[in-house]
Amino acid sequence: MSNKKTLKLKSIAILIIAASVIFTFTVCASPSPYLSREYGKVSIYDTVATSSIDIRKGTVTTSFNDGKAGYRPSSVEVTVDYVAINTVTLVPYTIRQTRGSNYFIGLNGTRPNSNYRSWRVRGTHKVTYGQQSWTAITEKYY
Amino acid sequence: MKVKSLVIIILCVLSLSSCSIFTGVEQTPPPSISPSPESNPTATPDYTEDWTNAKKLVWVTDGVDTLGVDPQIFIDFNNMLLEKGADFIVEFVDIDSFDYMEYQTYIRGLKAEGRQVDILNTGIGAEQGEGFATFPEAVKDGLLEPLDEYLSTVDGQELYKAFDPKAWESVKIQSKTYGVNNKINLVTPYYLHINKDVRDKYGILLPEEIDSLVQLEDALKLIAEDQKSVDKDKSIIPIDNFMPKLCGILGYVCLDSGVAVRYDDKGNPQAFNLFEDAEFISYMEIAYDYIDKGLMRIDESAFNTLSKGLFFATIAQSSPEEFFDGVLALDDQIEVVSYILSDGYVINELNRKIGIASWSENKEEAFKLLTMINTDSDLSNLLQYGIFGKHYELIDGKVRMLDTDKRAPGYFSPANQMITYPSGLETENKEQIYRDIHSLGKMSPIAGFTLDESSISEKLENIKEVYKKYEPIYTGEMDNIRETLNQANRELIEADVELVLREINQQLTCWWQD
Repeated sequence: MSNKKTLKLKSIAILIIAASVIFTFTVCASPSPYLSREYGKVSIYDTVATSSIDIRKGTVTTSFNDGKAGYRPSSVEVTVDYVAINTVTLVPYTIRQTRGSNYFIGLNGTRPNSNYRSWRVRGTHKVTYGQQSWTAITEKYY
Repeated sequence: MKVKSLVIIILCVLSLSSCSIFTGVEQTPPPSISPSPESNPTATPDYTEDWTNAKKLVWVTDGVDTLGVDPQIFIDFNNMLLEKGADFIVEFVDIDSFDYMEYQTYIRGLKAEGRQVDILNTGIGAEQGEGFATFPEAVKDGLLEPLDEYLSTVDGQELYKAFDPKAWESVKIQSKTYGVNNKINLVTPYYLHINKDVRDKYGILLPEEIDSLVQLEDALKLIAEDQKSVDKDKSIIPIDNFMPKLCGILGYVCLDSGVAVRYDDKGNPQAFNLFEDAEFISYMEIAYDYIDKGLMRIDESAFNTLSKGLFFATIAQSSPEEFFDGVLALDDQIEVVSYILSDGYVINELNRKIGIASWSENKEEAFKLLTMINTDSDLSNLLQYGIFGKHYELIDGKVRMLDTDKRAPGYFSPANQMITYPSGLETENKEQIYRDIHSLGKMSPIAGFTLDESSISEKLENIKEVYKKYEPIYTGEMDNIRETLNQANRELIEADVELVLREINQQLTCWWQD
């Protein structure tokens, strides 16, 4: 490979690095403004709890990750408290629901119609593995 | 060739690794457990600033505009108030509860104990159908000061002129003004939106004006036929369920009992039985016919399909934030051809109104505070969007909210949103656009009317039960709509609907003449 070609390759590589860094901070570094996340551990395994909200719905999730597939001796639970407010009459629409599963659970609260606007979502999360448990509350407003 | 391959590989690796570097940083905070939210009144912010020479006003709110909000916003707000010549600062006090009646008990307790409250938000209402309206109840319980004397002064006129006269009408109770109605959507028109992409796909020629939905029937049939084999989630809805919006489209409003009221030909309010109204029946028959023919979707998933823009026609109340200049904001922005069906009504305000506490010892200052917030865009921007650069940025003059742990008060803030920066589809001249829409809206035919139920209470209750029983007609659940309405009418006659209508109309006439 000639020196000229090597130089050209180097320049391209530098340009790519610069472009990638810019891309990273403009695209990747723009997380949703309406997501709340909590991380934890039960035993040695990772747990994640989230609440997210947009104008139409609130979503909460609880997950347990031991890197295995299929059945595992863990339980996850989440309660969603979701409130949307009618922008005309200013009355609330509230949902409270609890559900459990083995390693991942998600619940949605959805506004009843387009006169309502999501206001608040709260997730109350619990992960149990053997004798240990982890709890968290996540909350987000729109 | 080698160079090209290398470039591609580097690009892929770098893009992926730089993303994961970012997510790696974000994904490894120490495990934490959020504290349980307090259900006691909390004061924001913590008063550590040097505001010793300023009088402190207390603003009590239901928390919709304060919970989870960055306290720095309220600190900056107070500093801004002082910079702009106020000699007072504000302490916001809220309550955190999912039970909204707790707030009602709380504010009444504050008055009973004589604790300082200067500005009072009456709080969001009870859930639909529970029949507790916080604004008239607050007035009834003597929690709010009439604002009329303040509004009649030269300074007061500044606040008065910030809003359409109908906004002030909407907060009058027994001819006195008890609050400020700064709702940006004082009135929201009803539109029929036609998706341009779908129109073009099927080469549909739209009429200049639409007098009846029947004009669209051929187009609806064409789309329904073509979409028959497509999965439900991905198929285009010819028209979505317009039945729940029918009263609004026709310009009718309903009393608590379900009895409908409209303006008659002479412009006077007139109560009537909705189920006997020819226009209502005609629309319902069209809707049920469309359901039978597969032209209208009534299943729950239709709501999500609509959000994705997979529809030909939809009827919606749209504000300039979500519909402007032929663009409708759903999950994505889509181009539409729109027909206005009704300008909408300005309704009597029932909940979450801000006023001056009747037992305040700082009423002059409280009124000045309301004036400043509603006439000064800096204060309103801060109260709605938070701190520039921290909670929001401006892109091409429009607000884009930023990722923050602590939020800005947002849509339900006490700001006058007509004078804040544009967001969504709003434009720079948004104030004028909203003012134009507000001026087109009419007062609801029952705005300010209180029915004296004493002589008909039992009959009204029975009538309400019948209307409630037949609510499923709006979700398309009945087999034969004509027979269902006939049966409902037989039950309404048994419940003495004619006598009740006579009584309501008599009261409406007297009230209207006054």
